[in-house]
Amino acid sequence: MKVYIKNINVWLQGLDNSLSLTSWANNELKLAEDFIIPKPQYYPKGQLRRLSPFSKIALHCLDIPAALSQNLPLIFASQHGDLAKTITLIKDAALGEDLSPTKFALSVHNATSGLFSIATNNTAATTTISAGANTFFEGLIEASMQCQQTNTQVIYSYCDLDVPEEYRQFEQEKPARCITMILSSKRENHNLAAIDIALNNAKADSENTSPAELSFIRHFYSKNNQTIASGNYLISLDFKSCS
Amino acid sequence: MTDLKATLKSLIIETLDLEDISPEDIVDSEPLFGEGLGLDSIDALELGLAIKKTFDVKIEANSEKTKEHFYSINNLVLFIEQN
Repeated sequence: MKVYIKNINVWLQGLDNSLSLTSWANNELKLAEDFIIPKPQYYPKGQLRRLSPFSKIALHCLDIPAALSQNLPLIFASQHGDLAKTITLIKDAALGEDLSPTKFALSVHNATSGLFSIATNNTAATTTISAGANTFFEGLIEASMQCQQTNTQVIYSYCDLDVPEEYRQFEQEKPARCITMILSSKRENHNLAAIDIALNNAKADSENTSPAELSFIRHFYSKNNQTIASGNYLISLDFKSCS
Repeated sequence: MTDLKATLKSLIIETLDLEDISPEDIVDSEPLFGEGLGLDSIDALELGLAIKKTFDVKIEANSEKTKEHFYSINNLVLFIEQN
């Protein structure tokens, strides 16, 4: 299966322009420990106060003209969703406190995609995915399938932050990362790259222990066309025959 | 009463993360919801919870009177003082 990247926005632990991301991808730049939470510029000012860091980062990456204006279907993927918010609710519940209605309403997995659709008047279908450690690839598969099936462009957005310390025993430290792409099934001018997706029949796991989404960012910005293996899939980027 | 007004204004700003609003911007007699301060129904739920926790008052969710109590700072002060 093949889909084409028409646009991409990546936010990685504060890095959000192609120059700095390329430097990181080529091992010329290390990620900082702290970062400033971006504000989605298109978002209604009065509503910004309700957004958590997770939502702000995800909505910031969705700031692509086609995503904001073309009523495209959105596939939103996140392994943990807004876990920092969820854990405050769990703690309140454990103490017998009443839960914050705003936090509760916005803690569901499709809250961010809902916030996006309201802010942009997007009435197209939204799909929300969480699929364990392979979430980025599984979400990409769903987005690619929808792209092929409907023959339209789709928005694919993936976002995960490092887990709160309470969950550290289950997951090692990872940078905050968000990738949003406009995907198309058509080979056209100005496509940035083609994504080739194949089944990982041999279950050949990548020797690279880096999460698939970080490998994807690294491959994209270093123009690396080697295959990334993760779970059931093999994925490679083609920068030559994409447009 | 003046202290209670100041406390309520600070509580509203803090609870609802109204970053660009200062206590002086909230006029005692103006509506908090819709026009005036421009808060909405989710804010009402959040504020109701904060007032319940802070002042230990009972708020009836579906009462028309609750709408009146939450109309303005002046009304909220009267409601809290009477309970």
